[in-house]
Amino acid sequence: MMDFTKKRVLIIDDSSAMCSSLKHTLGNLGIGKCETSNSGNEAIFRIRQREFDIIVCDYCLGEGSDGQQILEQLRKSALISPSVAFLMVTAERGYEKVVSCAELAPDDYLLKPFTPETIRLRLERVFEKKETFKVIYELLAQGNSAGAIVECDLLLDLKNKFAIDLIRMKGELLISLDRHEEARVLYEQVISARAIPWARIGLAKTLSMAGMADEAIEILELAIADTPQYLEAYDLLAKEHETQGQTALAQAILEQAVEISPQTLSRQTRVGEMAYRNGDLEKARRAFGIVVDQGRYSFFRSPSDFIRLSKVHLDEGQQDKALSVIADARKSFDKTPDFELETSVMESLIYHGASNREASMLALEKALEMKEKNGLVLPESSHLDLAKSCFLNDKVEEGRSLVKDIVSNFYDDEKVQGMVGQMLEQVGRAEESKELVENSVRDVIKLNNEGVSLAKKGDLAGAIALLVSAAQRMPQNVQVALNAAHALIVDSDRNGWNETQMDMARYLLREHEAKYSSLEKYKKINGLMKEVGLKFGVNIT
Amino acid sequence: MNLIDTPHIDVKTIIALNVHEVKNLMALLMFKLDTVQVVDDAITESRLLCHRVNDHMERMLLLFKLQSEHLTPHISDYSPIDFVDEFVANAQILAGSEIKIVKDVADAPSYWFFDRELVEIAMMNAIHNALRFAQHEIKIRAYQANQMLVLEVTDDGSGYPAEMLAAPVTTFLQTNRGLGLYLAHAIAQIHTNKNSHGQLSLHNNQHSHGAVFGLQLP
Repeated sequence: MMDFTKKRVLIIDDSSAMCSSLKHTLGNLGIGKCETSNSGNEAIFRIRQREFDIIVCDYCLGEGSDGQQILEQLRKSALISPSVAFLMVTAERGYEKVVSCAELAPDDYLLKPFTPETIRLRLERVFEKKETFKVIYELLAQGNSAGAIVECDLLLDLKNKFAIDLIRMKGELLISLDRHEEARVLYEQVISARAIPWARIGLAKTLSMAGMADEAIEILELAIADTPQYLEAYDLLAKEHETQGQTALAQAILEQAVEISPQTLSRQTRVGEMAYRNGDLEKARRAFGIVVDQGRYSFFRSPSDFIRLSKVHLDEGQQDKALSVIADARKSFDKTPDFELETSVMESLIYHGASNREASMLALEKALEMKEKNGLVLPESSHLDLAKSCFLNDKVEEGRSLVKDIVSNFYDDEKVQGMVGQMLEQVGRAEESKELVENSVRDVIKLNNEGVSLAKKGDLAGAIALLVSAAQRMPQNVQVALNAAHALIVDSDRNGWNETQMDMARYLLREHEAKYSSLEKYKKINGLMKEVGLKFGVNIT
Repeated sequence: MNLIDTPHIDVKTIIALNVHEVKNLMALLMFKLDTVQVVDDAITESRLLCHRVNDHMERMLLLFKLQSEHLTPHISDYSPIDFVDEFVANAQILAGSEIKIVKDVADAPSYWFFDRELVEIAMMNAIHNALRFAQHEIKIRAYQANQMLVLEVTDDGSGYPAEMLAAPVTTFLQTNRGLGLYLAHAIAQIHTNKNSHGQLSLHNNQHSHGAVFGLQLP
């Protein structure tokens, strides 16, 4: 029997009677340190105060909050580590439906009533599984995914009882390392025995990575037909259609998913964004409205939800509503420089829409000042809004320079360039659009070439100075980042180990790893970095 | 005086909601009973009664679901060995000290796909039946055969009557083992994989007598 005496437990249940009964049951298992919370927010407060080993949470917490939301918030914000056991308690079978739709599942769930013996056995099993995966999680924490795959194989060869979980983990790791061929074989094996939804999703991902978009779509549609409650399939399918330029179709698919599970606010946000892109203001307003309303009492709400909603109101010509959403946001959030900047940008646009030129100019000047003073990097949509406001308030030069920044940052992103074109059209500068975009792209290419040619001429210091500052100005530009990293690494290779520069190179590469690790050039420079590290006896992860 | 119109009410739904509420109250009552420290026969018996009431409530809710909507299983992967461990522990509570519940998981696969809660209900119903006929022992067995996971409950009583074995499904509701078997059959049926679906099998033990209740899950 497992020793539970040292485990710290948090029970979350809106009924105090249930809390004390559960506390007693757990006490009988030998658990001494047991705290209780009657609401989600109180629980999150406690979890921020100290660490727990076990969280037992009731699914139904009353007043618009449920255990699944808490679980997702805790795991997504990494407030609890993977070693924490999270058990969901539910009164009815309905929760299984929730858990099968959710991206994140608890470690296990229990249907009321359950005996002390049941909860004991379930907890033992959860910890047994966590123990099995411990080495794998440790390797992952060190960034060693390839090692984690080897460990999975090792355990699978030993006929480990958590085989199916190990296979699932291995598939995800293979995909993360772009080893999609191996992953595909793995998923096909699983599916040949049983068409489990996660295996189908995995297979679709590998097909998409292999450039077989149509086959991926077919698998996803099959998964949705068989298990319509499995929502990840909708997300992926929407993404596939979006990549193919079918944004209306992507929106419709996301809407279906939201219909099934309206509680997942991140998906509501995606619906809103997609609808906004498609010019479907009514749907966008509805989606962002839900996000703002339902996220109101959550620890994890974000000002950008308010900004998005305000923007839809503005586009619909409802300046009053747009302004009141911003006022609402001002009351709800800490006034960080980022927040001040984004809200000021919105206010300048709203006042302009309401023909209050003076107030618009004032808000714009405040925004420009905030940006200048704090050296802030804005999300692309706010960046564009700031440029728009400049054009509207006759600060044409500032507007152009902002557009130039954004285009050079996203020089290979058609979506962002489309947004730039749209904005320029709205401010009556459609004819400048092509030239502005082309010039900006040309400037980046020129700068890149200058850096590379300096490096070729042997002026590494000059190349580094040029490229690193450019990489900082355009954090999204992968070509600039790769060239900068290359110059930094070559410098260490030729002139001896330079810790600061190698750190910088590593940082630049890792920033783009998620999106571009399959790029040939990325692999080459990443490999060179490791080689140079080895040459100087430094192991770079 | 004005007459108040009696609006039409959906009796079925209201009954289901009330059964649900009773089930929740039972859960609370059971947790409360668990907090009683004294060892007392009346308390032990009350606990047992609560379990039985609860199992009946579950049955009624399930029946309601079967009648009113399509019952979809929530299939996930579980270890049949863990499942049997837990099931035996809980069945032993129902059985008390007279009847011993034993397990045999030597030939169980390391994982299988099924709806844990539904299968537990089906199996628990089999335990309720077996307890009425068992002399000393009930055996729970899990093993793999012909691409199926087989979960068996075997008692050492007098076995199923011959006429029941002849045409099981149609006789289900007319015997005193009734509803439980009907539900077990329905639960087995909704477990599907590729082209095969689950089966309920009833037979008598060849060596000793005793009834064998078997769920075969693809």
